[in-house]
Amino acid sequence: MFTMPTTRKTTTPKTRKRQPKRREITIEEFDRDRSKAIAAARKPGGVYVVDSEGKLRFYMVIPHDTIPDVRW
Amino acid sequence: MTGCQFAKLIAQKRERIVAAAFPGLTSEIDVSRLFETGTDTHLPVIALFTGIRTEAALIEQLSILARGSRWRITREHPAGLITDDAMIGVEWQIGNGCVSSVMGFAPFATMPVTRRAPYVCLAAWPGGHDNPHWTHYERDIVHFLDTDLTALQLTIPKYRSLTKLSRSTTEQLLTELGDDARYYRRVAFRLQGSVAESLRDVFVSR
Repeated sequence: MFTMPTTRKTTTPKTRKRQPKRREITIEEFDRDRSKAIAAARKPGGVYVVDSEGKLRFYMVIPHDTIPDVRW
Repeated sequence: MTGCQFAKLIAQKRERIVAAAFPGLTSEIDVSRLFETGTDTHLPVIALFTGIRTEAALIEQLSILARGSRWRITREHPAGLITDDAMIGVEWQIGNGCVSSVMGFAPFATMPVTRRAPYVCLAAWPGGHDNPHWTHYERDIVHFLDTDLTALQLTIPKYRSLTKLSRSTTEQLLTELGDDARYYRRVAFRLQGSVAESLRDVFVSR
């Protein structure tokens, strides 16, 4: 029996993976409260360390699984 | 491509490293901040320099590090190795009386195959002599061999078999090009010989 090919429906995943929020701390905060910086680095998405003008100095993470993509 | 079985096991554990990405040439203070965080958390550190694409940029970064009192860049001459390449060592003063011998990775053809990576990286154990299985350590210097492996819960036979496998796998990866792991005990980067001249003022003697 011949059957016509049907158009495959596009499926949307039931649970959409949410991007972790961009967490920032200043370099002054990093130096003042290292434990806070470490706690932030342990969270999903890590922490962006910026200077007083908001310019990125570095991104730090203590990964739970694979290292996430950095969003500059 | 690593032959180190311990690195593979560490990579499987949660919260096993502190990693940081630096977008461009970076002050020695910022790299020290990362290393200090490794000391505080008792974890190995990896610094990725995503903006460094050439040997010249790496040399510039090493020169910046050398300006800091906690960093030493050395010219190494491994016994038995005859080469025109520049063998460069990197050390970081931990603060516990020891220096950490830093391992380097880079996407350059001069680097040994086990130290090639998509980005220039510095990796180190910024703690003490915390590996109870490793007793032949040097008093004032720590290497990755000194890493605290408690989380891996290794028995002595397991540790020995992993060490043996690490050695043989690394040897296999390197010997094809006539290379040898013992040349890199204190070498972070192997670069073209011509770069040594530009680092002449940066090198410190042992």
